[in-house]
Amino acid sequence: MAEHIAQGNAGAAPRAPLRAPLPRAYLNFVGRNLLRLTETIQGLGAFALITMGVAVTKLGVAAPLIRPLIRAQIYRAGVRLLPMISFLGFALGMVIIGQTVSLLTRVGAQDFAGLVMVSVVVRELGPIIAALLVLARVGTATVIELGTSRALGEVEALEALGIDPVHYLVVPRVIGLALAIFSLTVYLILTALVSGYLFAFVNDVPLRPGEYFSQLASALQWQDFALLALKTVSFGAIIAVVTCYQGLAQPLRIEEVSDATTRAVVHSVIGCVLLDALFIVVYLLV
Amino acid sequence: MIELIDVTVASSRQTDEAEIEGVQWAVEPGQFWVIGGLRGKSDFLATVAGLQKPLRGRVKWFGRELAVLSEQELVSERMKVGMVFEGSGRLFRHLTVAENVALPLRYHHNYPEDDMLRMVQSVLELTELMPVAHQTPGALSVGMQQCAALARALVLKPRVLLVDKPFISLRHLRWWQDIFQKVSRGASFNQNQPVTLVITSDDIGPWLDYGTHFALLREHRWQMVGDRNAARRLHPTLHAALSEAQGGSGRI
Repeated sequence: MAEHIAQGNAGAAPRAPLRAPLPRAYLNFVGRNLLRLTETIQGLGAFALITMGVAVTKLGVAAPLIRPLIRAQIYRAGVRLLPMISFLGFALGMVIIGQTVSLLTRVGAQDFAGLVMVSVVVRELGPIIAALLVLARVGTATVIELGTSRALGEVEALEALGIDPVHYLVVPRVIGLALAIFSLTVYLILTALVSGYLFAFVNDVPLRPGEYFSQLASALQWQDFALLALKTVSFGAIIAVVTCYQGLAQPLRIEEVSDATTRAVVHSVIGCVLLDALFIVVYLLV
Repeated sequence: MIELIDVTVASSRQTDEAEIEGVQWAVEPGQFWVIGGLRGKSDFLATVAGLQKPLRGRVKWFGRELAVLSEQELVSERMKVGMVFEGSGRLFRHLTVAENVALPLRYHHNYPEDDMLRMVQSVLELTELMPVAHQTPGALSVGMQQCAALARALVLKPRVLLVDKPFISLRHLRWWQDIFQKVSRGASFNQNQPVTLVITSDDIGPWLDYGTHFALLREHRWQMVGDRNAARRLHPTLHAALSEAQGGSGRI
């Protein structure tokens, strides 16, 4: 036995010079990850298209069953997160907005307060914070639910009953999350703007409410409303599609559900940030 | 009703590997098929139910080939073929037993709530599950969960019912035998229409008095046994082989 091991070592030594395996291993690593990335993007794209197709073609199918499911998702991702989002909005207003307003006032640039507010809160922080909150609270739960269903074969049971799993499980989540993130963002922005002014008021900043809100109003353009809606709805769709894809689209064993959850969170965050970057370009253009 | 022509069943673990080869099989209305064997039963039934694609050959339902049906046609045909999965029957865990049974009705038919409740109730009464109607599957034993899965499959009034390994404990054997007798004769839940039955089992012994046709899955091959008498003649040797196999697994 010992001899055999020694022989094995002796045999292995000349075949594995020190430098040779390193670059190859790195190449393998990079190559594997690139391939995996392309596969994921391809799979996600296909899954998103299938979901869209099903949502359109089965618009009125089984409406008495599907509509309550959509309502349940809105309640779960939207209404139940209201206290949390109000708290976050309040904190955001206090910490960032209030500080900015009082700083601007100190250098005599009060006129820019509204503009800063709109670009920071309305365009950037509001949507992404709402999206991340929904991802953390609801997205992760979605992967676990669907992943477990998939692993236990419930998805095949749906198929055996002639129920389209994408229609029953994915479509309500996409619609629910999209609407929920949109409404949560609106609440977050409102709370942040109001609490920001409260902070400034408490700190004796010479800025009247009327001035503050007229600055806000003049800084807002009509595109902001349209783009905000588009952006938040897209965030919701991305999170729902990614989490459902990770939970549902491939065969999964029960012990792989936790890995799928981690992957879904990472991919959702990357997806949302990339989309955010795209919207920055759009904002610069308009 | 169901026909398999020269079908090779794929393995669900290794999708490019053959689990059962050479299946030539036709199910006629009113028959009660019992399919015995230690390996490949679930893959075989999944292929018959159209959930798993065969590696080779054709699967026909009611004279139409599954592979060429459109999605909508497939859904309407699927409602005529009920499937009960092995073990806990794969109920939806977040719904109660009654909601599980009602789900396919809610999805496919737009019945008024009262009619639907009546249908669910008639199936639950047939399967004696009324006392647990409002419990979630997690609160039931595994055997009971499979009973509820049978109720869920029956509610769409299928013409063919596929049951993968009914009863996992002797406690439920009597229940399944009773229910199969009622269903194959026709019961009130579907206006006394007889349902064609296909069940799988490790041992065909408990079903010798119930099944009308028997077949075996042995060493990756499909083996037709024939009617009840043929099965009775073959059973002692099968039983010996089975207990040997079980003894073997026991030792491991």
